[in-house]
Amino acid sequence: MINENFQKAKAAWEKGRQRYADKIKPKKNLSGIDIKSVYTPEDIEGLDLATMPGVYPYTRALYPDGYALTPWMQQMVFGYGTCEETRVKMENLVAQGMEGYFGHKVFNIVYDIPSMYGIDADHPEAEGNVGQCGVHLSTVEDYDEIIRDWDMETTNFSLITGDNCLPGLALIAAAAKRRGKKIDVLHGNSMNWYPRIAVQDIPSWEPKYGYAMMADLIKFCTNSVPAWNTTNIFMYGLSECGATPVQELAYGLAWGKSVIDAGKAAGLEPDSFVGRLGFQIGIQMNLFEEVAKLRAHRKMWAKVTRDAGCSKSQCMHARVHIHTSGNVLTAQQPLNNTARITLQILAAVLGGVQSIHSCSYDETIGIPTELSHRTALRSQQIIMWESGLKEVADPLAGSYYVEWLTDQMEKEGWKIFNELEARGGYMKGLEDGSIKRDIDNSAYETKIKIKTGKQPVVGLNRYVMDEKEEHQPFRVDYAIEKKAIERLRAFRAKRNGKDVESALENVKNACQKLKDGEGQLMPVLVDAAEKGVTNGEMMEVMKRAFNWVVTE
Amino acid sequence: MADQPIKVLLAKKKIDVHGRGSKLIARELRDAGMEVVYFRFGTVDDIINAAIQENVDVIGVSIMTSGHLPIAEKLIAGLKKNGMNEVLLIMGGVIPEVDFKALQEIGIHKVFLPGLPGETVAEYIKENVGKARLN
Amino acid sequence: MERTSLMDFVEEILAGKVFAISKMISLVERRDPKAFNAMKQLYGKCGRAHIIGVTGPPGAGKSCLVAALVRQFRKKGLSVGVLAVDPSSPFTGGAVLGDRARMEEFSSDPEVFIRSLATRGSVGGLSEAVNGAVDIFDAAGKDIILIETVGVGQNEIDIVNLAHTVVLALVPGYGDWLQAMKAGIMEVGDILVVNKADQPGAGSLLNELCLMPGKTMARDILDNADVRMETWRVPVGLTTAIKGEGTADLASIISMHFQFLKIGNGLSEKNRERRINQFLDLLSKRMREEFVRHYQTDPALRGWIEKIKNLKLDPYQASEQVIDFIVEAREGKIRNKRPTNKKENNQ
Repeated sequence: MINENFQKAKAAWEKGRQRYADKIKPKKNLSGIDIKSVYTPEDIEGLDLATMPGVYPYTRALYPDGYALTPWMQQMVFGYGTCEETRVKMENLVAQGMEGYFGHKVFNIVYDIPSMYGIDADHPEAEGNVGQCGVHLSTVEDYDEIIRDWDMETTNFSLITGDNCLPGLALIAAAAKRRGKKIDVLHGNSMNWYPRIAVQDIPSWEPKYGYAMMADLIKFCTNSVPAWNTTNIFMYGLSECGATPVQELAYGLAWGKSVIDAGKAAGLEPDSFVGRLGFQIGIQMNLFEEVAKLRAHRKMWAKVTRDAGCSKSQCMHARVHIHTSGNVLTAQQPLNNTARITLQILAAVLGGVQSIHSCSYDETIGIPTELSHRTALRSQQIIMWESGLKEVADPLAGSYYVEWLTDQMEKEGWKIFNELEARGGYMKGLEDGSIKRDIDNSAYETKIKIKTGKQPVVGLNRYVMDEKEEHQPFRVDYAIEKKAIERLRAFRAKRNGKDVESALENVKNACQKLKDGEGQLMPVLVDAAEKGVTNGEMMEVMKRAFNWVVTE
Repeated sequence: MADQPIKVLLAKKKIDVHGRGSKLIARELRDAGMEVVYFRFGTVDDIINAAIQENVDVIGVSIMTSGHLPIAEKLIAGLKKNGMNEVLLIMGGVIPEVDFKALQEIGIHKVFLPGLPGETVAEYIKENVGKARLN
Repeated sequence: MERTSLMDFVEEILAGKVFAISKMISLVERRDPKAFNAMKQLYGKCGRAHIIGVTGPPGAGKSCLVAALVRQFRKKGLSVGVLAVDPSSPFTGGAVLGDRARMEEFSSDPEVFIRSLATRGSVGGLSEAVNGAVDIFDAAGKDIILIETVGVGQNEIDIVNLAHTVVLALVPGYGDWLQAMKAGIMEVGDILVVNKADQPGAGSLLNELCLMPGKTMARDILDNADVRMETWRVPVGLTTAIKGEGTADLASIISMHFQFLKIGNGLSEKNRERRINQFLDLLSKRMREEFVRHYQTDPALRGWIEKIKNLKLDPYQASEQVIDFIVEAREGKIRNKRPTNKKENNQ
């Protein structure tokens, strides 16, 4: 009966559009999938839609009621200057209502470039860069200022390091210990994202050591810091470098698999550590493509983890933090970006993610001003409290288009994933540069599409205006550099030089042992941090041991 | 003699991240017939040394994490000191438009907003190379 | 260029002034006529440097290898010039010259001069500019000149003509390329390097190469060889250039090869080959340029060329006529005569 009625409707539809039907051709979305103008029950025939939120493979949501239990975490990236300025910012954001699950606090702290590279404030290469696009954190005292007076049980510290992931964790652990806490009280995130080097042209560790250190951090946390999220599978980094949504999906899963493999090779049981891996995913402008990507991602990760030996449901959960894509924002007519960011947040929420950072409209001009930062946060809060979106889990389920597209993204994603796995997986793709080439080519094609207008960007290739932009960016005073250097000097003067020397010697030996496949580096770094060794000093020893170079 | 290809040095400041923009520009300038020495990262001194050894017609500096004003000053002073007075200087990346005038006063010839097609940069270079002087 | 400023310019180059060297290379690249006079002056000061070519398929890690060699030679206190050659796009004429990026560590070393060059449509791949640049570096006092090229097709032959020592870098996984190039490998490469030795397949590639006639293990040469030996057996060795492993040995073998060439007749033979090929190359290019210049400005000559274009005169005859003309001119037989279509007249 339903089918008869549908066929009648379909016939009438075809008749109704006869006049212009040949003018409407399927258009490719960003992933290259042809999208029609109308979807029907026929498009989802044969798809397995007998799934529920909170039930394997979690396509619809990780939890049975989605956001109804607790909404996503508002996890805005922030950080600049020294720990003092960032401390003020932390308190400010809390005052603005930024919060995590069940009202807990969540801090998403970005380091400055010198810290990321393991360079202390008084190093010549730090000049002009200290505290400029992130906070300079190099000593245990700096970290102490970050954790001071926050309730460790209900506060989540996400440390957006560069390749100084292990020192970063060691220093915050040392800071906690100095306050008389046991390190298992720590809640938060390490980036542990060495594999992003596959698409970056920056120097980093030799691949096998990069992976060994990742496994070392995971092992350390599995044993001693069980509430800490060890790894951020940085898919956002892939899409910002040019990956299409389906490439981001496939390479992200392959990256995740390579981490699971590394953990298993280090002797860990999948159920003991896979649950603490997380994803950071980007959102570009095609709304439904992003929703479908997120749903497919959950389904595919559940399969990857189960195939890898996981049996606990938490271990098969794809826990996702969203960082809305900065690359799609324009410097031209910056206020337009508020509309873009709103749509990006919307896609993330419809996709059922766990936490969101929303970019500020002046992203292309500098780091956020007070106003733009707050506006980005408010955008999330408006969607959270005014739109009704958080009341229903996976509201797009059953949509002919979205279910069909989820299936397509999954199919295309598996193609890329399987091809890479057959060649040796993500680590191989990192070493031989094939992932980089693939993604670079996508970046190039995208640029050509934008240039020719095939991919419209308002203000850039459409509705272009000749206005000069008067927006004043947020400027970090270069004088902060002096403050950071003085702070560092004072700290060094107070230290016990002998303790520092022996601690560094221990780090050197631990690095060698890690290279030989034995021992653990993290506990030695924690000890060194307690003895006053700085981020830069640790990294210097590590760079020498693990070969700091730029790969293909 | 046939038209000689224009030679461009593309550098990112040391230390920095995010190379998507300048990598694409390198490709696009090549498509426009230019020879691009894609330098990756360098301090201002590194950039000057490279520019002189390569005898480039154009230097393009990409900046994603601030520092454009002090870098511009140091770069121009260094180039003049080494006798390289006729090179075209361009900058791009995350640079606020309100700073463009200040940069031009220091001596950068043109600052580009992010996201522009490579042709825009290529056309500007073709029209202005050879006429540039450091003031 | 006036005489005095030319001499000043040449003096600056001989004194090793960076900007002067750089500008001179640009003049040669541009085939600027001003370059010629300067090159004539510089030529007499050439002949000291060891010219080393590093070639091999894309992906062999040549840039890393060259960087590692620069490091080794600098340790010995030698000054180094590097020419990094990359192909120009045949469609756009542009190029991305990315080899320099691998050598950031030498940015502040005044004894290392790195110059990137595009092939600029040079038939054969290695441009005339590279030959000139080598002479400029040599005259300016560089002890070592490293030329990094892409080993595809004709390039190998060019580098053999130019360099004293050719290092051929290979990597495991290039089986097909290896098969295709096998014939070429016989002649190219005074030293064979299997780079990325930390990857699977490196050992077996090493063995495969060592079994080829005329090749031997690098260890052999390092441990046992006497530079006064009669013939050079091509050593094959392993490196992991990105870590610098094996590169000290490679640098030693390269130096040994230079010694070998100097003691025997090898060096003078190579120099002779190089100069005669350089002359013939310059000659054919200049002849072509001159001819084109002439017929563009000389109406009678243009008319003659039109005949070729209109298929009234075939290129074989036409070229023969020009050669005959030159020979007769040399023999003093021609005064104010244009090359004619003799055969046509007789018919």
